[in-house]
Amino acid sequence: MTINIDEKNLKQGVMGLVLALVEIIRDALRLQAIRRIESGRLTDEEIERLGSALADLDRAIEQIIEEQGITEAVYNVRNGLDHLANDMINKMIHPEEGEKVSQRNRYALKPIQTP
Amino acid sequence: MEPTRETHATFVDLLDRVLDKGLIIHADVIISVAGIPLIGVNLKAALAGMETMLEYGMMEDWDKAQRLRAQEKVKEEAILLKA
Amino acid sequence: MNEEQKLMSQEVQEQGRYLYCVGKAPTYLHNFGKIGLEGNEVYIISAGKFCAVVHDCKAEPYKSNNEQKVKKWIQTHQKVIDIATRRLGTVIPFSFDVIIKGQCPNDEVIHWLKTEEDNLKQKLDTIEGKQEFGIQIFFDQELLRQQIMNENTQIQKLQQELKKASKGKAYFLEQKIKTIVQKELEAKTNFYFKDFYGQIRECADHLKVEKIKKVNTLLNFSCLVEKEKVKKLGAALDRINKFPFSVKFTGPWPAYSFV
Repeated sequence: MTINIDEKNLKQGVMGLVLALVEIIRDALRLQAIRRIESGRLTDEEIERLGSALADLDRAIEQIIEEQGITEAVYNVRNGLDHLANDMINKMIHPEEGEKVSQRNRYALKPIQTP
Repeated sequence: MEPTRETHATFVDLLDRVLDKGLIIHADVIISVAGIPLIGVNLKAALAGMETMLEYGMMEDWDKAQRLRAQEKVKEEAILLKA
Repeated sequence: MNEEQKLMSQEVQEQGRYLYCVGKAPTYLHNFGKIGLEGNEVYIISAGKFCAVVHDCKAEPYKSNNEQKVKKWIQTHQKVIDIATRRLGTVIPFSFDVIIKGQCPNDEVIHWLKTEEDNLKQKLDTIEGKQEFGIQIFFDQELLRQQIMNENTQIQKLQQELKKASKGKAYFLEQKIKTIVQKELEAKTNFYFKDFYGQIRECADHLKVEKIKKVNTLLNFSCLVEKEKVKKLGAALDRINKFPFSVKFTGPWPAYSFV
């Protein structure tokens, strides 16, 4: 069986995944930062530096996604991961139902094909 | 309000049902590709006019999906390949 | 015969029956004609109380890289079920591409029908005389966000601070605003969801909450409704189908989601 992956496909897929992960990490960083600020442990200067760095990160991520034209890829990966996570949690809560639930998770994703 | 089902817009709803739902049988004598991860998404995406068509071996995955489904219940990280 | 020949002849001998749906066994034989996938002859295999609507095929799934072909197959699958419904009444639809295989696949079908008779009866009883409908309600999320930003006093205050804030501070103020908007948006959507759920639930015999796949979707339901109640459901949806919401009402479908 021949597999025709062309560069464009692969780029979209890989970049979509990578940027989705980057966004998720960025979200975690942001949450951490907000917690620290609310705990009152940071000086004004530190807050300023943190906020500025995160703002730059946001902008950089936006830019890459826009330039590479992968907005949809990223959305789909994150959406798929949400469904996947949801299904996994459901399975943990109701293991007997697990079989049915995982079968219905059709919207995710494909196993990675090594060329 | 009247329900519709013969329009271009409702083909996606048919796909949802026909690929992901309906009776499924678990038995050695059954071949079922009802677990196919991506074909539905690709067809839907393409039909919805978005440029998200998987270009290679759309159906080659069916065999693989079969085997994966038999082996493990938890799916791993994957890539939604797009054109 | 050597091993390889034995294996090969075994493969050749395995045939399949493509399964469209299961219905009550009719009082007389039905031939549907060449209406199946790839123009195959569709007919009925009966056993006990039930029958399966099938066509003969190879013991392997239908696959193709040709999107148009697959689309045609899927439409054909649905069409056969429609015709079967007209002749047999309410049927239990199969997923696309379910095939029973064996040396004598007819026997396999019969065996399965007999073994599963109780299970099938249960399923058919649930869906008898009813049809499935899909309901999706869309809303403009962006519009709602704007509305919240304009009306929330806390946000107004934060926006004032934002005007004179430095880059770093501004970032966190924006995040705070986003969080408040998100929280209020969730509260609003929960409210509407419950409201619409209630209205729709009243009109349906069974309701299934489906996954949301498109942006701006408030809810995605599959409903099982008796034929006489469909009008009432339509009327409820008319009441809901007002700005800023829009309703997509599809069907009638065979009861895919309830089997």
